Amino acid sequence: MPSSRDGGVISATFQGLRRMQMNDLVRAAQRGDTAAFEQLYRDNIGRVYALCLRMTADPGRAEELSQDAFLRAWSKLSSYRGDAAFSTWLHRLAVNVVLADRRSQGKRWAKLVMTDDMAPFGNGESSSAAEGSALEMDLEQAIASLPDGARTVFVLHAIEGYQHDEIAEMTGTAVGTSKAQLHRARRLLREVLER
Amino acid sequence: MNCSIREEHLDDYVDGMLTEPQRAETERHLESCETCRLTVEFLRGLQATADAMPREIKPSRDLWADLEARISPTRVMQVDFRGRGPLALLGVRSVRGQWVALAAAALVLVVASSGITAYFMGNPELDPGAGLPGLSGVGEPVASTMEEFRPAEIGYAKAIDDLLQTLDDRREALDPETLTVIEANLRVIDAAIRRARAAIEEYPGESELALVLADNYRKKLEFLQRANLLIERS
Amino acid sequence: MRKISLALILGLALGGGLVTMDATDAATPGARQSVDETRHASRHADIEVYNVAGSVRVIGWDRAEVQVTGTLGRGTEGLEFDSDEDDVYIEVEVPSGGRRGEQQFDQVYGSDLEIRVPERANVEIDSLSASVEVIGVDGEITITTVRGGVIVDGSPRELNVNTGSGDLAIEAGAGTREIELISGSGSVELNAEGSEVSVETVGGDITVVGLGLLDTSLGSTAGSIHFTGDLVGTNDYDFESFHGGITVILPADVSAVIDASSFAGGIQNDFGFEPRSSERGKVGKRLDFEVGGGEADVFIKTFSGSIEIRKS
Repeated sequence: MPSSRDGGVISATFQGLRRMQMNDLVRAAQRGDTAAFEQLYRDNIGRVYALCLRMTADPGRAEELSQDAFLRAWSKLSSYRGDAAFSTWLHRLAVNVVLADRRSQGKRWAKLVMTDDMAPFGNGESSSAAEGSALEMDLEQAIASLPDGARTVFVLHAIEGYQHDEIAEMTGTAVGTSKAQLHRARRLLREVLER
Repeated sequence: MNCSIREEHLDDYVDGMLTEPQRAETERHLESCETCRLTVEFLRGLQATADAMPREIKPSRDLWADLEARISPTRVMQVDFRGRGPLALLGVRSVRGQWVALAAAALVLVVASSGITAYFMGNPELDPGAGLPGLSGVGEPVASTMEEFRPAEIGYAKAIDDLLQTLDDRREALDPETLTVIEANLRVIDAAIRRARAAIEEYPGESELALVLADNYRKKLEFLQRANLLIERS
Repeated sequence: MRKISLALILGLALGGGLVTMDATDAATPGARQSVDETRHASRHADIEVYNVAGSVRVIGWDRAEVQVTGTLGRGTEGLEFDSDEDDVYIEVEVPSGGRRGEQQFDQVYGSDLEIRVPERANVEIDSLSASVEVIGVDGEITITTVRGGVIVDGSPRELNVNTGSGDLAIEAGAGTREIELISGSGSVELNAEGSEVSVETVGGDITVVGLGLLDTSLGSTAGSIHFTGDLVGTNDYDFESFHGGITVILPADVSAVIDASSFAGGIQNDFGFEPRSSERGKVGKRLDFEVGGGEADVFIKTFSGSIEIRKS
């Protein structure tokens, strides 16, 4: 989609241009253009998958949820009105998909195995998908080992940059709970990382 | 930790959420307390590492093919209710309750409807604001006679047939009163479809009628999906 | 400390399985077992309730406890009631085979439950034919019942209701942000304040009285639509019915662009603009005008019904 606009071309930053192109893509996708939606998918899947992977610590599940998030986005495209950047809108929607999934799952049982003892989590698969320094990989793995609630808040706050009040709203809890979970996450991460 | 400062307080300090006097006091404390200093050091390092982590991670396989199949009209409408069902399709895990999850079904249908309307409509150059609510996000219809509408109608008919067949296969599994409810609603929608079809034939050139008819077909699909799901879950 | 609480939770969850009756009770014809059980639960707990027939009445209270009282249908196999603090699961268990198509289904399996829950809990209720009532719950509420009616009174954060033929009567206070109601032939009556609203029916009539509603969409195939309320800012207000008439009553000083069209019915308008023939084709009436500052978007469309736009 060409995006030629008058005036502020000179001052248009690369990002601004990207955003205009993205809006063209969104408009086309809103009209049912799957090719445009594919481009939106390609531009955004990395961020969405990273979010899902870190929040679930389960690569297979993260793939399913990433798909669900885009599926949801496709069905809700008409409600996107361009108030925020598309990627922001999509990201928020992905967070909700992951949280809703957790609510609908048999998390009752997941909670039972939640413990402060930091037993090694999973088979380390999750970190193989990520790239980065040893320190970052360690942290990636340590995050995966956190209990659900603490991991959610840590990922949303420390990595994705959401504020406590936003997290509280998304998770349906109090701001104090979000802060307490963040504290807990940091304390547990320290135990693991400094071991 | 032997000192009097709570660890949560150090969290707030590192996050810059303390008032100025609190911050000054904490800094005074840090000068004399190594334990807290180490904690702060850790917290800062942790955040720096978190900041440096990649924002994007590629999934191990390309998910687009699956996704495309799930948003294209034919695939979505031919959901096999005997198999994984639309709930699984949406990634909604089966819950232990046995009856219905209509909300999830309705979601599938939004997907189906945006797919199928795109299938026969949508001139990308037209102002999307002219689209009708209920078929939101869709441009103006290109169909204004029954002949032009036919390809779309065939698409709907196929999907509806599949659903009716599935419904019929399971007819006796359904309790009679529920069946009555389903049939009564279908009659209402069918009457609307007949009426809209007749209007298109009577007034060719009224492009909005194609949208009206499409909307009625969409509602029938939607309703049948819900009905089937209901049996599936019961 | 933590170990102890874990053990407690485990004990509760595992021991809290089938709580009420054994097989011999269930087999006794005509016996309706009564229930009275209480479990601890957090104030934000997610509560799932499954009751195939009869009634479910959920009432919010100011305690971190869930209490289930009532009677179970004589054909049921007992009540499952688990809680692990944040998640509570309540299910009236019925035999897996042969419960469909039976005569007197509701009489055999109908169970009447009254459930007290923490007022900020999230509640999900599924049923085939039970009527459902939820009062004073502020969390998210999701209700699915094929044939039962639904009554909600309170300020749930979000409300989702799906029914086939049951009537819906909803009173939602200012704390409600989103309301989505779907019904087949059941009618919908909704009083709401400040939320986004979406209502869809096949044959059921829709009556909405709104105070400061945000984006609102009311749609039906054959039901009539009756809306009374003010409009807020630049929100969208859509009213569509294929066969049904649509009445929209707005304050005299409303600020909106109003676009109303009926293919076969008439249009009456209190705001003084006359309908004209549809511009695109030759048939149908269309009325398109701006009042006040023209802020909100109002879209009214019916195929064969008539449209009334009135001042309150």
